[in-house]
Amino acid sequence: MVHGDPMITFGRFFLIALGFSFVYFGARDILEPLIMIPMGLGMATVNAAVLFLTANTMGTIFVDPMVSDTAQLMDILQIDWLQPIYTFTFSNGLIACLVFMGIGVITDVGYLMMKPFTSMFIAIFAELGSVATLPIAVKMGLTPQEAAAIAIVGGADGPMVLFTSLMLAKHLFVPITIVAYLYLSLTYAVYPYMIRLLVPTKLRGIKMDLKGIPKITPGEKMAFATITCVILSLLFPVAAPLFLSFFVGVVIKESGVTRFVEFMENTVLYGSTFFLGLLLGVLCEANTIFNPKVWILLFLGSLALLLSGIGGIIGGYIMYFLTRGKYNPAVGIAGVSCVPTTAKVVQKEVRLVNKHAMILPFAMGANVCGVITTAILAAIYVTLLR
Amino acid sequence: MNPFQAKKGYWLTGMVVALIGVAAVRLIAPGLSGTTGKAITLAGGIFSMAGIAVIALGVKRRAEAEQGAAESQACAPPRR
Repeated sequence: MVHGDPMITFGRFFLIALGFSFVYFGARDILEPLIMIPMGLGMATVNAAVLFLTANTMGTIFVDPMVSDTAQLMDILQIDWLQPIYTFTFSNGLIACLVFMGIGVITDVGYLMMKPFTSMFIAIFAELGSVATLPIAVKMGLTPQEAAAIAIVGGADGPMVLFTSLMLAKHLFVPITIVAYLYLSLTYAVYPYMIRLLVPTKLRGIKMDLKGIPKITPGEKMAFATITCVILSLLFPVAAPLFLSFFVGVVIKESGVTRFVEFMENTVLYGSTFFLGLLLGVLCEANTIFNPKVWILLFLGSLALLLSGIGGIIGGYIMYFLTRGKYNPAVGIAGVSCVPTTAKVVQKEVRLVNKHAMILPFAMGANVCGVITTAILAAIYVTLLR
Repeated sequence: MNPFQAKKGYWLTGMVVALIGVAAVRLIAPGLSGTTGKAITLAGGIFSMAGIAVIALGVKRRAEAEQGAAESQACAPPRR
């Protein structure tokens, strides 16, 4: 520690403290507990474990994200205990697909099908951050590929960020993913305040008409999911693994094969989320984090999410005016596709104002459509910039 | 009644429109350069999304019609 770079030593102490705070805020439900608790503990532990190593030592006894040489990788796989999980699930995007399968199985496409145009409209507005951050990032000195990888954080879709950064900016994959998941957990904490700030109490309490909600059969949902998956894969082959992962979850849910549903909903989703959080925490080592580019990424990530939230609410207001006051503008923020967090956040905020207002089906429709629009946008970026 | 039969026009139209969009993006646009190529790509993407939305709209209409029929049956006076 004495011989090391004092900045790195200080950074390690800072990250240990930050790890503690993540565990605390996760346990208090202020930040997303499923990611934040394993991530915080991993972050605190890895920085404590390497505290006495020299500042320029890359890699830890947990995982070495920078190793690329095959022979070196074979050695490291036998030494670092989390290296097999990182190499075989992170760096090839498998963990993103596993999380997406889990998201698919908890998603009801019926919400999207009952209001297809409204959901699509809201979801497009909620991509404001993913679109507007790209030129800003280029202006700040990032390459178009790096800029696209960080801009997609605005979609608030973790697996999509993993996928895009792997495809476009592999050298920034670790910091971008850390920034993305850090902020996705923050949507849980920050978006409620954004809703309160941008939507007046009177409008937040608008009750939406649930009587007209049609009943869609599981067969129709399965057929719709299958056709959409094939069409999107034909359009954007680079994102086909993600489309398949998401829609296989949807189809399994609607097929009613309970053993598969339980397996995907519990083992696959929670297993992959746990290892995702733990690995992200372990990757938060001072050497990786305290890179000048990471500060730019931190700024751009927050900007992207902020703009997407604002964009979603603008979409919500347009719908409010188009329907002559029948649409609750707060629903717009659910177009930011952090399934189902943003939809649940909106419902919670609306309930605080009007106990009888039930907007969850509409919010879920925009939310599910947000997943699809983010996947399309990610595929467009990868196709154009790779 | 089979839910797919009720609004099969929407299913068929939606699929055809979406596939026309795919053909525009994957087959026609790569052969064109500059603004025309980009315009065809954009139009193809919009067509594909519109096709998917048409299918969703058909399902919605079928479900609404069924719901309306059920409600009117419930409101009808009982037969003697």
